[in-house]
Amino acid sequence: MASSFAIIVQGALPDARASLSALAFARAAVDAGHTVPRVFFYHQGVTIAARYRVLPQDERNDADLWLEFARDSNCELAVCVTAAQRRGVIGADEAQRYALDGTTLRDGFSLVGLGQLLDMTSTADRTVTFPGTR
Amino acid sequence: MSRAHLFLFDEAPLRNVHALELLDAALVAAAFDLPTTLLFLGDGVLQLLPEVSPNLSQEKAMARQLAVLPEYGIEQVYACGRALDERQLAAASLVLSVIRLDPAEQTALFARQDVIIGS
Repeated sequence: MASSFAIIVQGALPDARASLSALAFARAAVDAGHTVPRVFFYHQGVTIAARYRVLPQDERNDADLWLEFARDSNCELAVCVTAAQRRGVIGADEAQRYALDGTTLRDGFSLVGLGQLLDMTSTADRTVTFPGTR
Repeated sequence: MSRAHLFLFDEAPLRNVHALELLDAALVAAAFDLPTTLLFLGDGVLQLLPEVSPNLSQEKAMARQLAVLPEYGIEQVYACGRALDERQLAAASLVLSVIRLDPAEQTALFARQDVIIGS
């Protein structure tokens, strides 16, 4: 029977491999006929949504891979707004609210509140968390 | 349907803001009227000490944040008894009263949850 999975990602490259492990899981779930309607990036995992993030040319950028997955699988890439602004990932609303001179959020990711995390865990069949660095 | 959510705190204080961020999520869960339970285990039991205060960065002290739990209707806070004993923490020295659980009781607690979130 097909299930829906809620995925929480708490780390991203280069400090943690949580984003890649979660991606491998999400791909496997979708390949097996399940769905991943939303992924929630939390703690250090929010840094995946930073627009100005340059990895060495011969390494795959985990953000690119997630954006590709989101497009192919109709998955929302939700980023905790509070955790993100703590780490310098700023959207248009926050830039205006805190009078910052620019935004740093990458297109394709959405900044959301913690209500969206609990909405996700309350509606998906199963929740899986991928912890980052401790 | 109201799903039971368990939040696991197993990281030592002051290393990072994970516990504070996770507590925010737990408070939102409680505000949404989801059955919300907290379990402190491993080095996470050190979060329950009153003396931990991050002076330099002026981050919120976990102790102060934990004080609001009853206002959010979170009445059940659990701690791993073995983790408390290993660190010689007496119940009276903690910022709030916790229910001690042995490993079998923790397994039973996990089994009663719909969603478990750690940091």
